[in-house]
Amino acid sequence: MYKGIRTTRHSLKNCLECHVQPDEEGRFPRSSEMSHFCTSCHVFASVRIDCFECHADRPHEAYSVIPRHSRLSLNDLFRRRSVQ
Amino acid sequence: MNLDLTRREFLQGAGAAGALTLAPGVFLYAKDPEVPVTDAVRWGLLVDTRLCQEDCDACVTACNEEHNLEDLGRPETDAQWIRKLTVRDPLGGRTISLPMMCQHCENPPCVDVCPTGASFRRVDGIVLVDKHTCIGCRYCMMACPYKARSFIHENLTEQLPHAPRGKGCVESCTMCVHKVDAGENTTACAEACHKDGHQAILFGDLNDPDSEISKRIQEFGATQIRADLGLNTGVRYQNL
Repeated sequence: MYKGIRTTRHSLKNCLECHVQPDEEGRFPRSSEMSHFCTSCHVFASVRIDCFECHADRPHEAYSVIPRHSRLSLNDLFRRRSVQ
Repeated sequence: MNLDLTRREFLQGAGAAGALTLAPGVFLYAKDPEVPVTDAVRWGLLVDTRLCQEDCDACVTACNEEHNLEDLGRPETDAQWIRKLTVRDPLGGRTISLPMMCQHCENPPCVDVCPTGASFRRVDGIVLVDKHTCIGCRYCMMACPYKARSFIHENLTEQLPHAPRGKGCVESCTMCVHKVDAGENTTACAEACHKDGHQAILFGDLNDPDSEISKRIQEFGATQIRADLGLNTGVRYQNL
């Protein structure tokens, strides 16, 4: 951002392009769901992930595919996991 | 010459060479993504207030859509990167409508006051906030004479990949830096204004004497808002 270098090598955006894929119904998982690539490990390790409080949690193509909806907070996920 | 080049490869090749001349005086500048920006360019906007319609807010709507600035129904705290102003000269009563946004100063007060160095000015003239460093103190909002910055008070969930935004940070007009870095060399507001047929907002390189923006400034002149502050703004206005 500082130097305007926007290559794919150090780009979170680029990680998500491949790692976040739609399910059979064409719906992309949100970071609040266990099926999300990042969340699956972070919840397992009980390490809270802050990236998606600001960064998009889906690749760009997801935005034309699914309707907007509110998501569960990550706290809800952690709470649910600790109950199980 | 390899005729199988895609458009992107062609433009990237041209970017490495600096600029591609399409016609005399018309340059297509496409930045190589690996090459850092330089102070050879200074991006700026030129607003012709005569062409800006009072009842039109296409630039505001386009900016909101481009960066997904949602209307939460709380105008006191909702993020606003660009807004329309109507000013009236008490002598004669002439009214002027104009868009107001971050003026991308050469000497930005927001950068001066930032305690963490989150507010910064890129060498190509774009003033930005590094949100990884911003602590949300809002000094910059106090310092900015243009009221250009917004603080995010609430959790956001629908950020777009090219526009990360979040609670606890200050943000403002980025001069569509994602477009500029992709070599598109336009902004959402300028595009929307052009599409609406007003053409009141022009984006371009202030350092290039052959660019459309420089030519217009050279021919008709342009003023800074609050020029007395000596900020040398990158957003200039005509017919104020």
